[in-house]
Formats: sequence, structure tokens, C-alpha cells
Amino acid sequence: MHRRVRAACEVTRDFLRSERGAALIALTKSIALLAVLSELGWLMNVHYFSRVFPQLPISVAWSMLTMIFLIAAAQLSGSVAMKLWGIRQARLRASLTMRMTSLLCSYLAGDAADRDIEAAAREAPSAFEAAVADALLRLRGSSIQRLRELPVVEALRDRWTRRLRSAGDEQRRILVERLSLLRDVAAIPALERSLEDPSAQVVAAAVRGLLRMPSYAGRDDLLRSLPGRGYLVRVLTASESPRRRERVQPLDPARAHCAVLARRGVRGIDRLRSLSAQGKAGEAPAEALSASLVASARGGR
Amino acid sequence: MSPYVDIYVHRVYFFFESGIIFYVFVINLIYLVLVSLGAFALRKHHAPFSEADRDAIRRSPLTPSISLIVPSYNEEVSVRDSVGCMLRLDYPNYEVIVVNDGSKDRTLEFLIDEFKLFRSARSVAGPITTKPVRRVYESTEPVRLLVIDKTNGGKADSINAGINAARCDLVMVVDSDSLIERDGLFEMVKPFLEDPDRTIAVGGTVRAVNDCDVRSGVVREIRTSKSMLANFQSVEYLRAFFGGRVGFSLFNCMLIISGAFGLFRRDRAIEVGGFDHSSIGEDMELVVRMHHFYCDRKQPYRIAYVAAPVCWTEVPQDWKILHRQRKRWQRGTVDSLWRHREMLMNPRYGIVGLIAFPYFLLFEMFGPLVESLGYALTVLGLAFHIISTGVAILFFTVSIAFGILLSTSAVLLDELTPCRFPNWKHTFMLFAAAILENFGFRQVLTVWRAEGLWEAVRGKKTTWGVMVRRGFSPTANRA
Repeated sequence: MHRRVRAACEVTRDFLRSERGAALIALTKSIALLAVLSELGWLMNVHYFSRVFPQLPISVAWSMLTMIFLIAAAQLSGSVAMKLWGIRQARLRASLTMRMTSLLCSYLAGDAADRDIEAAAREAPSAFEAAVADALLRLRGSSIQRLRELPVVEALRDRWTRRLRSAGDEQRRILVERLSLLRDVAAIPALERSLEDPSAQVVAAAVRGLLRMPSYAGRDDLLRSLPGRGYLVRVLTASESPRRRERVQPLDPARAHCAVLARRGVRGIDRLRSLSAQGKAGEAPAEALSASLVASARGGR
Repeated sequence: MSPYVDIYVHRVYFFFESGIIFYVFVINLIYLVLVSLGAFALRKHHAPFSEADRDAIRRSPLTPSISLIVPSYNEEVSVRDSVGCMLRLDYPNYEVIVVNDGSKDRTLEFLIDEFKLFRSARSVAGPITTKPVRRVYESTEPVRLLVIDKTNGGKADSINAGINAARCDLVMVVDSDSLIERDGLFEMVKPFLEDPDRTIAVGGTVRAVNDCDVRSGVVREIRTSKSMLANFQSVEYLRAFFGGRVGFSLFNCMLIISGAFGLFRRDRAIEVGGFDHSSIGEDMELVVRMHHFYCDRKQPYRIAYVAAPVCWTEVPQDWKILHRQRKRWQRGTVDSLWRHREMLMNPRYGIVGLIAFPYFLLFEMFGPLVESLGYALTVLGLAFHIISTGVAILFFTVSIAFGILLSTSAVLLDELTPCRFPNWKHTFMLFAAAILENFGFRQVLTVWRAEGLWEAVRGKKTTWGVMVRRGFSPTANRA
């Protein structure tokens, strides 16, 4: 019995996720909305207009007219208010994001701005989130690593991971893209879960994110699974496999250089990290260099 | 008049009048359901690709190629701007095919000069029969532009010539007086990527460009027009696309894809025989034929609408041209429905035959007739004192109010899209147009559509629609 209920639930869930299910949900919502509005109109008729106009068609017509007038007025005022509020919010967000960005810049430049950032993040969490998302798009290599080390960014990563379970399609895609840009090993389980997402764009973002993780072990399996996925996922990830190969090639000279450094007796993760940062910060190969340096250092210990 | 005759006249009158009131109530209820469906589904239609996705599509070898077919006839004013705009689109793999349908003005010369065209040996023969092609031109510049100069055969014939010449998987039909948003093709192609086996056609949104700030073929700022007639049409377009098409598309029963902006799978368009040159509304006819064809063969298919990509088009600012356009559209609707009348209430055609087709027949085809009859009966009722002035005014006001509600809802839906008016003054202006269009404009359109219905019944012949172009840029030549 229990199994049958579970199977029925799964069938229902699949149907609701399908195109027809979505259409049915939208139709149900619109009918419900119209029903609520009609009920309000009818109540208006019963409690007011039917007393003023004894003939039913006339009183119903009056209540309809009143409802329509109220809805249209609400639409107009709501639309203008929404627009004005949107403009104000955009201005406010822009100034806050600018402040956050300057704080993040000074932190990345080496200043001890951790506490200021924490305070600002507490004060305006959404602006902080926007600033981090923006920074992730612009930063490369060791700068992302430094950003990741901020406790507030770690908390943000956890929040993004949690939100992945409840957000809508577009929001989930944005969250997966942000988690991918973080290149944090801790985000791998969330990205792996997103590979089973019903939205193809979310899956594609997760695939891209995982393939860009320097320490992701399941890369080959993931690449092998791509041809079996939907067409949109294949289109969105088709350029990934050759790019992986291109990226791997410059690693060899870097690894060779690391081996030389290791032989010379250069030791210690911090020393190697600083070498990496000095070397090619802001360039994609810097990550490769950094990873191989760390690997060599570990091997040398 | 004897009392019996008087009672009889009253009964007949009230029978018709209450029928019309019921009809008006039902049609408005359906429109309201469609508008609210639009409100709930529009967000899905506006989920655009992210920059990372677009970048992936640009580099992907699997991205389908698109041939943009631009049929043109006497379009010397706007053809250079619009073709220039089409050549600057952001999409990795596409070509532009302009089909000059024996224009009598300097359309071809302007194209040759502007894009440095030379005579090409490229074969444009294909499976669809068209009027003879005179010459084929290609550009000396590194752009994928093909110009076909052919004997005049009408818009459908030109599009068919373009489909024959196309080398891409998908063909997009675009009017030569239209501007496509730079990244519009990404969104248009999305349904084909999501469901490549079933999707056979996709329609996008068409909006009025009149008086918008257009520079180098790009709409820089969305504005309302100085002409109220253009603003009325703006509201009408919003209502048709966000209200009607979103709803019909949800249930895969959309019967129209605008001829100004539609994307089709080339093989499927050829399979159904291409555009019918004997049809007046060739865009609607093709879509209805596709439904007919694939339902008959029990082949799964999907005809989708995406609200995100916008094609900007110049709408008539002249009453005469608008009159001709609306009559032609109405005749097109009648023609398409008549050719495929077998589908009406036929369960074999599923939701298309049982819901979409009867809706179009009852409300789009006969709607103007019933509405005109309603106005006439009300006037007669007033003249012969069958109904009181108060009641007549009340019911007229309710029907107008429903119209206002639908229009303002469409404007509100526009606010949910990224392509909304940036300035609240323009939004306010559009709301004003949404209210004012119900006092005169809609009634005039109703009469014109009824006229179109009459012409269709009489069987008037098909011609290219004449439209006086103003051009997009302020420096454009005035026709």
C-alpha cells in the first residue's frame, strides 16, 4: 500500500513537472483568481447594490463595473508605484553594491577589511550577495581563493546551497552559476545534486561548474555522461570537453617548474601560494600553476 | 401597432439582446482567463539564457543554424536599416536571405549599393514551386547575405523562394520593416533546443517601434508614440501577445505565429508544402495547416510562443492604411479557418479542434459581426423605446469597462517583462491609451473587421499590403 502511494505521488510529481502539468497549474491559478474576484463582486452585489437596484441584472452590472474600476485603478497605481519603487531600489542597491565592492577590493588588495565586510554584510545582506556575485564574475585565480576564505562568503555559500532546494528554475540556475564561480570543493555535493535537476539550464550550469573545479574527481565520468543528456544540456556543454583539454595542456610546463622548485627545497604551502599569486594572478593558468604547486609541495613533504 | 405584435417584437428583441449580452460576457470571461494565464505563465516565457549559457551556445558546434528570410516589396525606405540590423545580430550561425519580390521602387538598387552585392552562381532551386528567380546576389563583404530578385508573386511566394534557398536547419520569417533585438535569436531558438524532436515552429513578440529611439538599427530607448493611433495599436499588440498567445501556447493550440517574426523547422515547413501563396493570411494558414497535417498523421509536434524575443515593427499611423491592414487580417482569419473547417469540433484534432478552432470561429471570425449587431440593436432599442436609456448606457459601460480591464491588464503584464517602458511617464501614457482605445477605436476596428468578413465571404483577391514607411532613423528617407 505504502509503495503504491509513493508511486502515485511520483507519477503526480512527474505530471506536475511536465509541460501539461505546468499548463494545468497555470489554468487552475487563473480560474481561482477569477473566482475570488467574482466572489468579491457578488458580495458587493448582495451587501450593497441589490439593495439600491432591485433588478438583479442591473445590480450585478453595477457591482461588475465597480469591481472592474477598482481592479483597473489598482493596476494603474500598482504599476506606477512598482516602477517608482524599482527606480529607488535600483539606486539604493547601486550605492550599497559600490560600497561593498570597494570593501571587497581593499580586502583583496591585502587590507584587513574582514570586520568591515562582516558588518556591511549584516547591514545589507542582499547588496553584499550582489557584490560577491559581481566579484565572482570578474575575479580569477588566487583572488577567488582569498574571497572564499572570508567567513561571510562561506556563510553565503551555505545559504546558496540551502536555497537550491526551494528556489524557482531561474533562481536555481543563478545559484548554481554562483557556486560554480566560487570553485569551492565544499560546493561539489550541491553541484552534483543539481545534475539531476529538472531544468536543463541548471544541469548545464552544474556541469560547467563541476568541470571547472580543479579538484573534481568525477570529471571523466561526467564527460562520458554528457551525450546521454537532453539536447539543451548537450548544446550548452558541448564546448566544455575540448576546453578541458586545452586547459590541461599548459599544466605540464607548470608541473615541471614545480618539480624543479620542489627539488630545490622550496617547501610550505604558504610560500608556494605566494609564488603562484605573484606568478600569474588573474590568468586561468594561475589556478593550474597553483594546484600543481600545492600538489608538488604535498608530495615533497 | 397591435399589442400582440408589440409583445412579439419585444420578445424577439430581448432574445437577441440577451444572447448578445451572454456572448459579450463569455468572450470577456475567456479573455480574462487568457490574460490571467499570461500573468502566471509569462515569467516562464521570460526566463532568458544567462551570459554563460549564451557564451556556451556561441561556441557550441551543436547550435542549430538559422536562415533569416526577409520578403520585401517596395521597401526602399526601411530595407537598408532592417537588413543592416539583421546582419548585426548576436548569434553564431545564421544567414540573411532578402527576397525582392519584383519591387517597383529602388529596393534592390539600395541593397546592391549598401551591401556591395555581386551576382552569385548559388543555386536557389528547391522543393517548393515559386515564381521564377531572376538573379541571385551575394555580398563582397564578409557577411552572410543573399539577395534573391524574383518575379512578383506575393509574400508567401517570396518566403517559399527563401525557404528553397535556405541552407540552415531553421528558417525565420521576418518582415523587412522590422527590427529584431540583437540577442533575440538565442531566445527564439530555445524551444527547439529544449524539445528538438517535437518543436516545429516558434513565434515571438511583435511590438510597435513608432517614435522609439532607434539608432543604427537598434532600439536604444522604448517610448510611446506621439500618435495616439500607434499607442492604441501598441496596447492591442500587448493584449494579443501577452494575453492570447501565452495562454494558447501553454496548451499547444496556438493558431497564429506572426508573419513578422516566426521561426520554423525548414524540413517541416517543406513537408507541409511551405506557405500557401493563394492564402491571404499566409502566416496563420501555415500554422493551422501544420496542426492539421501532424494531427492527421498522429505525429507529436509542438508550436510554441516565447515572449522574451521582441521584434519591433512600424505600425500604421494612418487610418486608411490601418483600415486596409485590418480588413486583410480579418480576411486571412476567415480564409484559414474556412480552408481547414474539417478541424472544427473534430476530436481527432484534440484541443486545437475542440477549443482553439471554435474560439477563433466564434470570437475572432464572427466576433465583429455580433458586436456590430449588438451596437445596432441597442440603438434600435433606444429609438423604439424598447429599452431605457439608463439600462442601455449601463450595459454599454460594462462592456467598455471589460475592454479597459483587459487592456490595462495587458499593460501591467508588460511591466513584468524586461522590455518594459523605462520611464513611468510612458507607462502612464500607455495606460491612458489602454483606457481611451475603448472609446471609438475598438468600435471602428469592429466595423472594419466586419467589413473584412464580408469581403472574405465575397471572395476578394489577394495582394501585398501597402504600408507607407517612415523609416527607423530620424534621417531616413521619407516615402
